[in-house]
This record gives sequence, C-alpha cells and structure tokens, in this order.
Amino acid sequence: MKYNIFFIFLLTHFCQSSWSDELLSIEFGECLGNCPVYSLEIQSNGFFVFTDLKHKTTQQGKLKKEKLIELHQILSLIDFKELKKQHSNKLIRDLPKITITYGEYNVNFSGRKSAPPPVLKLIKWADDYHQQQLSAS
Amino acid sequence: MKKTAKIRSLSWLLIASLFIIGCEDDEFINFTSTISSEETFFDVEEGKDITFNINLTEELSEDLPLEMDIIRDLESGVYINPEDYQDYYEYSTDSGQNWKRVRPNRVIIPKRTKNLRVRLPTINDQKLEVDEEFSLKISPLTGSVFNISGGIQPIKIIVRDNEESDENVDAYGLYFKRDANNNYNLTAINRGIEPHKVLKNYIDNGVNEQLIKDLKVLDEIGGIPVNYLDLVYTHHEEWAGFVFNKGQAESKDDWEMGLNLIYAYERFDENFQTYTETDYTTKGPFGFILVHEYGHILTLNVKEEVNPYIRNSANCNNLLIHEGCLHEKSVLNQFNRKFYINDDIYNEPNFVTDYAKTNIVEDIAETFAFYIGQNSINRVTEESSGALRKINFISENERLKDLKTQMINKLSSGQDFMDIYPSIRKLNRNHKGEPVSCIDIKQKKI
Repeated sequence: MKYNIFFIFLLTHFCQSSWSDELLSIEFGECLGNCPVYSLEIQSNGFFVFTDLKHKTTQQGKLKKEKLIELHQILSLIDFKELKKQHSNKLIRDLPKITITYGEYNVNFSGRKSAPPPVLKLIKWADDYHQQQLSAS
Repeated sequence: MKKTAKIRSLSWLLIASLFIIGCEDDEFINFTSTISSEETFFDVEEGKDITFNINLTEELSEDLPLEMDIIRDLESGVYINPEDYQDYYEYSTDSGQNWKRVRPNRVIIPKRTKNLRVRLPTINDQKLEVDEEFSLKISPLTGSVFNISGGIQPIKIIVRDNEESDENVDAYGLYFKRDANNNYNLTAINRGIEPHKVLKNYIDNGVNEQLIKDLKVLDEIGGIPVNYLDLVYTHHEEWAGFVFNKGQAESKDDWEMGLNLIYAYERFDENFQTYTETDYTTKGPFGFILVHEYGHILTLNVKEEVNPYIRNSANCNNLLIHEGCLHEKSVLNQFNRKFYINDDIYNEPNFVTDYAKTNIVEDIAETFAFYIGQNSINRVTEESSGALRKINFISENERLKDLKTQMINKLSSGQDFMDIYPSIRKLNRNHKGEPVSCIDIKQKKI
C-alpha cells in the first residue's frame, strides 16, 4: 500500500506529465466493421464514466488501484504539449476516429495505427478496460 | 651380451605388440554416449548460415546418423518457405575448417568423433517478405545399435527479411501497388503486422485472383481504378475497410483501398459473436465492403464529383466536406439537397444501417451498397421510409443507376452480400409497427 502511494508520488513529481486536475477522455468512433465504440472519462483519482456508445449504456465507478497506477505510468510517457492535434488523414473514410482529450489538449487519430507508440499504450489500456467491462457484463 | 640381446628382442616384441594393438580399431567398441547441443535459438538475416554444435560425451565406434527435420507451423503465418534455405546441410569435425555437404536431411557424427559443427545456409533472395520462423528438430537414428542418452532441444530459428519496404508508404499491412497490366505488386510491409497464413499466402503468391478480377470490374464499370491496396488480417480493430484519394492535393484520382481480409475468409455469427473460417468469398460481408468502398470512390472522385481546391465555405455554394467542395450536379450534393437540407420528415428508418447515420458520406455509400444488393427496389409511396427514398434516389440517379446491372453480373459476389446486416431488416417498420419496404422483403431469410 505505502509503496503504491510512494510510486504515485514519484510519478506525479518527476515524470513528464503529472496528472492532477486534468480530465482524461478517450472516445472511439464508428467504423465500417465491428469496431468497439465507446468513451471513457477518467479523473486522476480514478473516478470514471464509461459509456458504451453502441448500446447507449453508461457505467460509473472508481478504477482499481493497479489500473490507476498503470494509467498514471502510461500518461507519464505522453507529452500532450508536443503531440500534433491531428494525427489522422481526414480523407480516410471508414476507419474509426479516436479522440483523446487531456485537460486543454485534444488529439485525433484515424484508426489505432496512426497513434504514436506512447498514445498507443493508452489506447490499448482503454481497449483492455473495455474488454474487461464486456466480459464482466 | 646375450642377456642384452634378449632384452632388446623382448622390447621390440613389446613395442610391436603395442603398436599392433594400438592401431587395431576393431578392438574399440562403444555404442553408448550422451548427446547434447547448447544452441536453442537463432535470429539470423536471410543469406546467413545457421551454425551450431552437436556434442557427444563419449566417442562412438560407429558413425551415428542424425536426422534433421525442419518443422514449419503452416498455421502461424510466419513459416519459412523451402526456397528460403538450401536443400543441404554441411558438417565439420574440425571446428569448421573443412565442411562436408550432405542432402537431403541427414548428417553423420563420424566414429571416434565427439564434436560436430553443422550449418544450414539460408538464401538471400530479392523478395519482400515477412520475417520467417521454423524449428529444427535433430534426432539421432540409434536403431537397435546405439544407446544414446540426452537429447537436443528443437532449435527455434527466425530468418529476418532484408528487403526494404517502400519508405514513402505508411502501410497498415501488406501494401500492393497496381501496375499497367493490372497486377498488384507488393511494395511495402508493415513489419509490426499481425501475422496470418492468409497474408503469408498473399506475400508468396500475390493478391487473390478473384479480388483482382473484382477490382478490375469496378474500374471498368466506374472508370476509376484502385491503384493501391493495403491489406490486413486482424480481429483487433475489426475495421472492415477504408478508402482515400492519395491524389487529392493534385486534383487527380489516385485511390487507395484498405481491406481487412477476415471478412473474406471468416464468417461472423451475429448471435454468438463468433467467427468461423471459410475459403475466400465475396458472397457476404466482403462483397458488401467492396461495393461500399467503391461507392465512396464513385461519389468522392475529383473526375466528376469534388473540387478539391475549394476548401472553405465562403467559396463553396454546395456541400463542403474534407475532400473539397462538391460540384452542383454531383450525386452527393443532390443527395444532400434532397435529404439533409430540407424539412421533409419521413417514416423511420431514415438510414439503411446504423453506420449510415455516421455522416452523409457514409450514408450514401451504405445506401449505394443496399441499392446494388437488392433484387428489386420497391417504389416510393407516401408512407415510405427515408431509407427507401434514399435507395430510390440512387436508382434514379443518372450517374449511378446503370451501374447496378453491370455490377451484379460481373462482380463475383453478384447480389449475395446483403447478409452483412441481417438485423437491420427488423428496423424497417413504420410508426404503426408495420413493415415498410425499405429493403427487399422478398430476399432470402437469414
């Protein structure tokens, strides 16, 4: 327990992006096919709102400590200031649009592949979480 | 003196005896030893040798044959092709100074030898491929003669392809470029691609012939070729396809199409949310995807539909989208006028699928695919849904209406691709709950 707190302390004090008041929001849009369509809004304390945009259901709760630590770690690797706003080619039709908002920053991607590696980790984290929610329901 | 001579004679006799005994191989008999090899993994660039040692704890009095088996997992999608390695092995008993070549798959640990070095040369070809893997299983052929303990773990080997992908291409998967003869040539591979046996087959043998034929048919009918194909086989994102015009900035049609081949080689069960493998088929989702994507090309091309140089609303009196300003008489602009910027309210459903609700560009591509996929289109009545009206719009459009017969007759799918969205049929009811003829209710039941 105290190690976890210490670890979060280290992350928030020494890493690239210390997550405090920013609301993190990730939204995955429709594609032609069978893509997961959902959004996740998460605060740094772990409170989240998960919305299944396909089935129009919403779920609120608090992330488990391990998941929150993972997320802090991943966010510490992403420098939102340096990210281009638009990573996607707007001319591409039928790939899912992915929008990530972090505080004042907003970035867009066409399909998961257009995201740079650290962001891809965040997307994968969200997809895993979405998969867990599906399995649990 | 006599004594000295006697001793000398006995000494010679002893030396002669020792010499005779020492040189007599037949006297050395040993069929028992322990075999081993330290190597279990190799990662080599194509063209390089895979070299490893095999050791015995005791020399044997007879040659010990070793059988070498290349184990390829044909399901893996990364298996090595026989033309990527030599059809012989070489072995050396003097730490690699002299080599003896053997084929096809048997090397020998010669008698009175404990250490053997073996090599398998790989071939440096000029072909763009994925990195390939196989295992080498080495088994002593002991018969009933030898008593060999120990063993050699199968050696896992990765052979790295050294051809470079086209660096100007950021491919999702396998990237093929069309040439003047309508062949699609592999020019780039995303090295992080999820391997699959279907993709491996496309790398080794080219794009499926039926797919090439269908793309050619679409070009003949629509007048705009698909110049680039980006093919993946993935369940992760489960996107089905994409298109975009690489020549948009230069106001020319230079279209790329991405396709997820799971929809051609697997059948999705909506009820159980499971996939089952099939042979390549366009009679199902993949046929629908091809028509949908080509629907985009027909409605977003710069040849007749879009002016890509007008990018702001101040200079565009018609529909403005990412691709540019639609021409007044373009199909999409007319579709916009008829269904998006007037106040008419129609019965539900107003869209042929949920995905059509995404935006007007997807709406017309989905509607186009429904128009092609239906045996007959019911006429619009006062009560007709918005979706049926949209299908009728396509059927009456000068640019699109005549394509249907050609596509049905020439595409490998025919019309048998409408079961991609079986559940959508349940939507087609009016406000009273009565069936509305948005789609062809005479079609076969799913």
